Amino acid sequence: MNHTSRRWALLGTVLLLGAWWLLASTFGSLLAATPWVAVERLWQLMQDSQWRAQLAISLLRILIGIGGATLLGFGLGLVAGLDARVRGLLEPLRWLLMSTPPVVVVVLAMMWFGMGSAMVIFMTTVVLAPGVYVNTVRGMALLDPQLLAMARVYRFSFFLRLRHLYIPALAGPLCAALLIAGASGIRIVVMAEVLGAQEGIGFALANAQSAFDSGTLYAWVLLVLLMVAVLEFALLQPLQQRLTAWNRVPHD
Amino acid sequence: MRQFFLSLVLFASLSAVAEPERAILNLAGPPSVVSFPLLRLIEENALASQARETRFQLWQNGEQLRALLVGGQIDFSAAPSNVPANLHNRGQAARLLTVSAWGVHWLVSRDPNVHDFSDLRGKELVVPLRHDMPGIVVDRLIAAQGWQAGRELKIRSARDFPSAVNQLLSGQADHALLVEPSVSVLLARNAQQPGAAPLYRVKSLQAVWADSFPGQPELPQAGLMAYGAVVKDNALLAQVALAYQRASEWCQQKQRACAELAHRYLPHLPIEALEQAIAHSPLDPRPATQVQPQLQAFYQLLVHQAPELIGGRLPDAGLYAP
Repeated sequence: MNHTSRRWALLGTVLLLGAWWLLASTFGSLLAATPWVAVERLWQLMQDSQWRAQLAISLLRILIGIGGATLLGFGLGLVAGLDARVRGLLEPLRWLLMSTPPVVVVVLAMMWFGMGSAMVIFMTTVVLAPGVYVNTVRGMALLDPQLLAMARVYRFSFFLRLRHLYIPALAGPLCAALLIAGASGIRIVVMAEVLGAQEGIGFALANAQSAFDSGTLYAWVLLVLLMVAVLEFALLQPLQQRLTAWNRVPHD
Repeated sequence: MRQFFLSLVLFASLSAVAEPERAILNLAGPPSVVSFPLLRLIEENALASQARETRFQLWQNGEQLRALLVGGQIDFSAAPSNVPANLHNRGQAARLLTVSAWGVHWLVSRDPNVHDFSDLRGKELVVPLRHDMPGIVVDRLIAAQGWQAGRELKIRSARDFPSAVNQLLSGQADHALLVEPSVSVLLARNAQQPGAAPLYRVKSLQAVWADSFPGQPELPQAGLMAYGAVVKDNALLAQVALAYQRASEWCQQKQRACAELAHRYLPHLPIEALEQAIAHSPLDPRPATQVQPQLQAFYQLLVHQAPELIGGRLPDAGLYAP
């Protein structure tokens, strides 16, 4: 596959903005804000320390939630990739977590942890960890058995094997998992906050909706999109290029 | 010497007043007018003789309320009248102290010629929470008109109040049943929008009900309940009920001040709209023990139409306190 064309991506963005503007103008300002109003409102929100505090709380929850899910999924995935018994033991739990609708998890988490950060972080970790886990196990399964045998012959320590065998092999699938975890982590945190928190972006979104304040509502949505964009384009894609550089076929 | 003892006794009794046994009383409620008196209680420190600290926790939906109840984070909460009855019937320690909200739902329309429920004949009405309040009441009103749902009045269900508002604003519907304070917030915002089609506050559901059922004209919709260990402390229940009653009366008399107070806890809702909401969903606090007939008639309606909302049967007299 050749590189995605940047020029056409720009055109796609402009088309999306146009569609947004068109929809907002037909629906009226109580239902939907135009892109310009949303940007203006976002600028105002970011000047206000109270709103920045809401953003900071959500960012912290996102960071801990995604971090926890990645560590948990990667750690368990490594162990499960090495040992079929662990894999069997974890399989029902993985199935359970991946099959339960996130909305149900929120309701249960609210019962167990009450409303607030603990609930949101638990929810995010539980929803994201299985994806990272599955990708790690899959990457481990793709490892070349001959390379592994060689590592055994030369008595590589676990850390040497991790550094030279597992991490390079896992880089591709893990990057995909991180990308998905990152983007959906932000969305899950926001959803959990809408349903059961007293602070954060989701709470602010719910309040804006109940006040029919579409400017603020769309400003927060825009902010969430910007956060996903930063995560994807500024952090994960360079990381992916670095980690997978060794097996890329030069084509430009 | 005598003076010394006297001052000692005085000091002891003073410190007894200053240091009540209970550390914290947790009050809670939804973002609606029934909760505003609780905010006044906290502002005034009206329960200082009962607890060293009084807190307010906002809840926005049934799941949040349940999470707070399960977590033991609620002693008293403003709530719809069926909530304590449901909890009580399911064996939980819940009692209803006061009923203060008797009309919180309003018909809102785009049509300036709609002045009453009967004017909706042949039209379509958006009804949120079809199998809960207010959907149940709408069903009874349709029957009382001698209509049939779907024939004389088309009902368009909405998942919740915000989605009913969206249907109204997007032009999918012209008439909807909405709840305060969101009616006042919506009307205020709509009036501010240049070029927006006007919306009209038609009539309160309570008033329609009173016209249709003159023998049972009142709908005891929401009030104050006690939950958990506090339900056994009759002295505390009486104190809190009295304080809530006074705070409700204050809120009703000083609507502007009450709206300003509520705005501090709900900063996203404009003060003017909150003031309108108080005016249009008036607080009339009455002890639950004194309005048992109205409550039982209301619960009977629920048992008949939506038994799961009330635990399947009429609650016994133990529900009403103090």
